This record gives sequence, structure tokens and C-alpha cells, in this order.
Amino acid sequence: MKTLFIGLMLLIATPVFASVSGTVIGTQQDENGNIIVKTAYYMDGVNVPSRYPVENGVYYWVSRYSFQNFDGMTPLQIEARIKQDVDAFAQSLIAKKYTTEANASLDLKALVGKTFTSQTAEIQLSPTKALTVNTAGVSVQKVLTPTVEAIAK
Amino acid sequence: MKKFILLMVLMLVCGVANATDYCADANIRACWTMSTEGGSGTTLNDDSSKNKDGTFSSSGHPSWYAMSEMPAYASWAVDFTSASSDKITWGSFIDGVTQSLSVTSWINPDSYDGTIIGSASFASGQGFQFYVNASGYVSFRLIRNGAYYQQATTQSAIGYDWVHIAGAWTQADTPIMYVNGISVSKTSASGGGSSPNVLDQTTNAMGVDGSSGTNYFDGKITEASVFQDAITSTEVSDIYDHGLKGTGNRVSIASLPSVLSDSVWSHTTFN
Repeated sequence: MKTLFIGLMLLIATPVFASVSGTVIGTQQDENGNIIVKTAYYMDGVNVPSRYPVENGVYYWVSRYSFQNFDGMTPLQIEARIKQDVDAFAQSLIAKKYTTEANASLDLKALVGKTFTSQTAEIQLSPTKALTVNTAGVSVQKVLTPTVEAIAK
Repeated sequence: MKKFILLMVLMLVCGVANATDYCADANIRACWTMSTEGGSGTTLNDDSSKNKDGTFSSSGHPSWYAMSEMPAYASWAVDFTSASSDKITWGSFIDGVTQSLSVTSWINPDSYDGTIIGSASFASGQGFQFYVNASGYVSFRLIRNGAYYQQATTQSAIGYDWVHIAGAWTQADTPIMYVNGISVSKTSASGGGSSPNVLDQTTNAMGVDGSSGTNYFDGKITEASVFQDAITSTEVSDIYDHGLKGTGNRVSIASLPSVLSDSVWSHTTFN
């Protein structure tokens, strides 16, 4: 009982230090010979699940590299390069969690029952020509000013 | 009391992000896994909630290709022949201005110089193009106000076999380009680097340049997606290994040799 209580307190306490951290748990080569860096991520202290097989009870994520990515770098610079990618994914995890929670908190009940109507649609025929059409079969030709097709390859 | 504690623990554990279905990602704008189509159908299903179903030019143009090789999680691909009749189109695309943009796809080119996904508005001169250039390098182009900015990979031509490619363009930087999950070197930006500013495109297509109606792709495309943000290298690897829906397993990483396991980065924690 005491253990359970301590465990609960620990779980409750970790969000106080809300963060995502990544621990590199191993590196290897993939089937193409590229470098795989395996990183376990922890959100508020809890291991973030992934689709990769659990290793020693830990979920991990993968980022890939080749020697060209580290050309001319010192070990410290290589570590900084890896950290950059770990940071980017950690930030992505934070943003996704926030977005999910923010979306869930929006109250859109007032929209239910509202009807929105569109009268016409535009159909592009060429870079310079479009039709504005409606459901009664009426169409009005529209001249467009092309700006993109002059782009050189 | 025991029940309450168990409930609390469960709630906290469930609060952690789950393994990812990228088709359900908040920033996904189209997710064409090609897992259920095939036959003589002329609709390319969008597996996200964005309803970007594509329409074939006509039955058999392009044609469906039943996958029997890499990637193991894809059931079908669309096979383009570079004929002008081979294209897939859909309606409006990105939800207004975006400051970052990513495109991913598996491709197997029969020849080079063709558009994988192109999107543009002729009227406002905005859009993007993700394509294989004439030399076999992957190129990511933004079109802003009628001007263009682009970068292509330089490391090696992609070849004529299945390859996973991705481009992630962030607001501040030029795009990061990935081939089989690895970020690769690029040319200098033509026209100068610039962030995406993709607006209400009206001409969107797979297999042809949406802006010019030319530059047809020759080869197969499957598992293609567009995100309205810059996905990370870890996400690119995850998509490469498990597919956009996260249901596949391209290769068993656990079975690969851990030849680098004592390297300098092992057990380093980044906070």
C-alpha cells in the first residue's frame, strides 16, 4: 500500500517538472548500412510509446544518419547535431500534446444545426481560363492572369 | 482507496502520447496510403480527415499497381507513364497561409524529370512542387507571388528502385531533404531561401506539375502525404519504417546487428 502511494506521488509530482527528454539507448546500422540512433523519450517522466520493438522494457524512436552528416565534425559537434534532432522531436511531442488538449477544450456545440450554403464553384480550365459554375448548369467564363507558368525550370 | 489510486495511475499513463498514426496528425493535410484501393477504381482515397480524395484522369490513367515488394506495408501504388493523360487531381488544399510544409512519399521512377505532387494557384502565384529533376535528384520548390525558391538533393541520384523521400520546409530555414530516412546534402537555394506561403491552391495534382500542367511523372508512387508543418528526422524515420498509418513494419530493427552500440552517444540524455 505504501509503495503504491509513493508511486502515485511520484507520478503526480513529475508533471511539475513538465518536459520531454530523450536518452540515447543505442546505435546500430540499418539494412542499408546507415546509422540508426535509438532514443527513448520521456514526457513528464513517462516513456513515450513507439512502433519500434521494446528494448529492455523501454520504448525507443529512431533517427538515421550517414557519415556525410558528420563530415569534419568533432565528437562534441556530432553530439550537438544529434541533440538538435532530439530537441526537434521533443518539441514536436510537446506541440502535439498541447494541440490535442487545446482542440479537446474548444466548445463548438453552437455550430450544430447551422447550415452553410455555397452558390458557385470555380473550375480551372487552363492557366488563363476558368469557369464559375452553379448547380443549375450555368457557367461564366473567367480570365485569369498567369504568373506561375513563366517560372523557368 | 486502491481503486482510486489505480485509476489515477491509469489516467496519468494514458496522458502520454501514443504511437503515431500520421494520417490522424493535427497537421496532416493529405494522407494517401493506398491501402484499400486498386482494381479499376478512379479514386485515390485520402486516409486523413481532410477529404483530399484524388480523381484519376480516367480509368487506367494512371493505373493501379499491386505491391509485391518494398515497402511491405503498402498494398497498392499508382503507376504513371509520363503520358499527359496520367494524373490525379483534387480540389483546394492547404488551409490558408502556412509557415512550414512537409511532403513524404515512396517512389519508384522509371525515368527522371517528373512531378510527384504539385500544387499551385495560377491567380495568386502560390504553391509548391515536389519532384524528381532530370538528373534524378529530389527537388522541393516553393512558389511565392510568382517567384520560386527551390533546393535539390546532391548526394546521389535516387536510382530506379523503391526509395522513400521526404522534404520538410520550416519558416526560418531552407528545406531538409531526406532519402530513406537520412537527411542529405542539397544544392544552394535557387532564387533564395524562403519560408512557405502556400495559399488556397486551385490546381493540385499527383504526377504532374500543378502550375504548368507539364512535367509528368514516370513511375510508381505510394504512401504519399502532405503536412502543414515541418516533420522531424525522427518522424521521417518512423514513417519510413512503419508507414503513414503506423501499422506496418518494413524491417525488423531488433534483428539488425548492434555494431555501433558502444558509440560515444549511447546513454546520453538530452533535456
